[in-house]
Amino acid sequence: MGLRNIVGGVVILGLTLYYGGLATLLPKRTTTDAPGPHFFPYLITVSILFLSAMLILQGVRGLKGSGGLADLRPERPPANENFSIPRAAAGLLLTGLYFFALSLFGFFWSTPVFFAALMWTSGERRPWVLLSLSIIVPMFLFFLFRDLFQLPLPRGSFPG
Amino acid sequence: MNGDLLQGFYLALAPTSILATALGALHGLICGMMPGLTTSAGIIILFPVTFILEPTTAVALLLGVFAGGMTGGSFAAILINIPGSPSASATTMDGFPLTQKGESGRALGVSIVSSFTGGLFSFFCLILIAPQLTKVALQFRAADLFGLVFFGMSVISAFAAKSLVKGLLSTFLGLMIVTVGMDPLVGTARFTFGDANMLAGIHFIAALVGLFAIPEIVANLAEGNIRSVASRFGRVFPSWEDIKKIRLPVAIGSVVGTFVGILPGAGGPIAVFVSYDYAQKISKEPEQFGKGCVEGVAAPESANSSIAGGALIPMMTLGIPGDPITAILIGALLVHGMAPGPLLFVEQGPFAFSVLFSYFIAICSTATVAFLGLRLIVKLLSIPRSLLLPIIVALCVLGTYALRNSFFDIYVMFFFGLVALSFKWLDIPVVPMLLALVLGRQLEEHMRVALASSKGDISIFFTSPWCLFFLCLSVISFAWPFFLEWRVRKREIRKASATTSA
Repeated sequence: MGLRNIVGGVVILGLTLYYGGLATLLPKRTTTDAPGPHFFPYLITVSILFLSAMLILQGVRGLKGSGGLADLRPERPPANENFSIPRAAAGLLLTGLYFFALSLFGFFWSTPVFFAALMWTSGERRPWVLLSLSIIVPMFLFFLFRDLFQLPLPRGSFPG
Repeated sequence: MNGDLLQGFYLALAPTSILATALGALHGLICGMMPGLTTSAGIIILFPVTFILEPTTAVALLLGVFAGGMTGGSFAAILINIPGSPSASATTMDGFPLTQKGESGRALGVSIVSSFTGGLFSFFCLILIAPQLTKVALQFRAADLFGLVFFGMSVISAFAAKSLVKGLLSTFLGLMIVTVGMDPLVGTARFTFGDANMLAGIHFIAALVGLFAIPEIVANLAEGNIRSVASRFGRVFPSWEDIKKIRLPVAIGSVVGTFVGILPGAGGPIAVFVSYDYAQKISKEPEQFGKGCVEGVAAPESANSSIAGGALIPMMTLGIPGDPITAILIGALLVHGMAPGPLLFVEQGPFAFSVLFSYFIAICSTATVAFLGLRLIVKLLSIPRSLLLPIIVALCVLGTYALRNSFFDIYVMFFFGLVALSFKWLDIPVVPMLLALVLGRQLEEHMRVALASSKGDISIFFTSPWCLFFLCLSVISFAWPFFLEWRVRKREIRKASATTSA
């Protein structure tokens, strides 16, 4: 955990310095004697700077017992042989792509493709199951939310 | 107040509310039972549906999920030795051995009855304590409210993480995010980068969906497409002999669960293990614990269920969420224009009481649905995760987009998903961040209003008795983990010296 704490602490420290820099640009004068909009961000900046320094310190103290760069890898549950980080990463990437595709093609066209891709990634290999469920379930959700619940659904910038 | 109470009772008894509660309970039982799905995820999935419902019906639906999820968690624990929720982990210790003996029906029946009794006890505490606590809370001024919110956040920071530094970091990073958007007092735009979407700030629900749903999806993908196997079971309703056996463990679990539920951030797993431990200590046959005895199922299950009622007390009266689920419920109430807290009982009395009574109906619905639909619900354990995961993602998208009809919220959700994954890697808890997102704006507002009223004099926080009281409690909650660590070290040193001298 030592190396992770150092990496995390440094990232948070950098982020907080940037945030603190932006906070200095906020107006300081207010009409009352109360602190202005800059006050709370200042408090937060000081607190996080202190805490991230503590985290780095904890990391440095914990470096002796850590396994070097191997410490940066996500932990695996020992009992599960099926555990796969690449599969999880692929799923996350697919989800990100799906969110982006929604803004282009909308819910109706993007969701069936996403369903098929994610089902395949999570281990479903039967073509008829992939094809049928990736069409039926998104369509059901689409009509359920659009027509029955009358909720707005994401529409893409491309017509269709 | 009495008129409001009666009106609230009638509102909760409306057919639509009862139906919503029953459907919510069914959904909660399923989500609580499925390993990889949680009660929080169950509420998030149903969230878009609440937009089209009346506030009373919407809250009834979500309370049904809350109560159902608490009971459902034990089903998977008993049948397949995988707790559906962290709070159901103690149930595996005796629940699964009962299944191995071929008595899964007996274990499930005891679990449902214990959950019902625990929930009922916590409901009576809720209905008795909530109005009294509201009267006290109505006297609070800005400084006191600041103290209260600060206390709520400090408790979560101190107890949610193994390291206090990490708990506090999570809280302050949440507060950092809360400052994005319009300043709550003077309306100055802060950290918006000129983007119109950022002016309204980060929507709490979008962040919440990302923080909870995305890591669950990723974790499920990493674990692979495991098909769970449902087992067969015989008679479900507990025998008279079993009911006599579980009386005392259920009573212990109910009291411990309700008390722990009231404390913000204390967490379900603590209550269930404490109850299990007490039940074992008072048992005439403590050696049977862990080998499949019904008392070992009853104590943690009653505690698990009563936590919900306990957590609703600070949520409804003070606006302080006790756990992630009540934080989500606060979000749901805010979306419907109802801010939980003492003023809710004054301004929207019938609605506030209807929430309390809906919880009662949720407990009853959960027990009824669980007994009647148990065989069908358990069959759902065999649904493959490969189908569940894309459905969850799609529902998260629908719920998040419906907040403001904006793709910005969907990107915010994804961003928070990545934040939650990074936190997991760093072993930083997300719950303090979630609470900071819910309470952060109030914290800043109360602090600045208090300082304005004292013309910038910070002594206002130490001269107001209530504020001082809450600040002292915060100091205790920060000091408590250090005290515990010191005690453990002292014990270890004593043991080591005893071994050396021996």
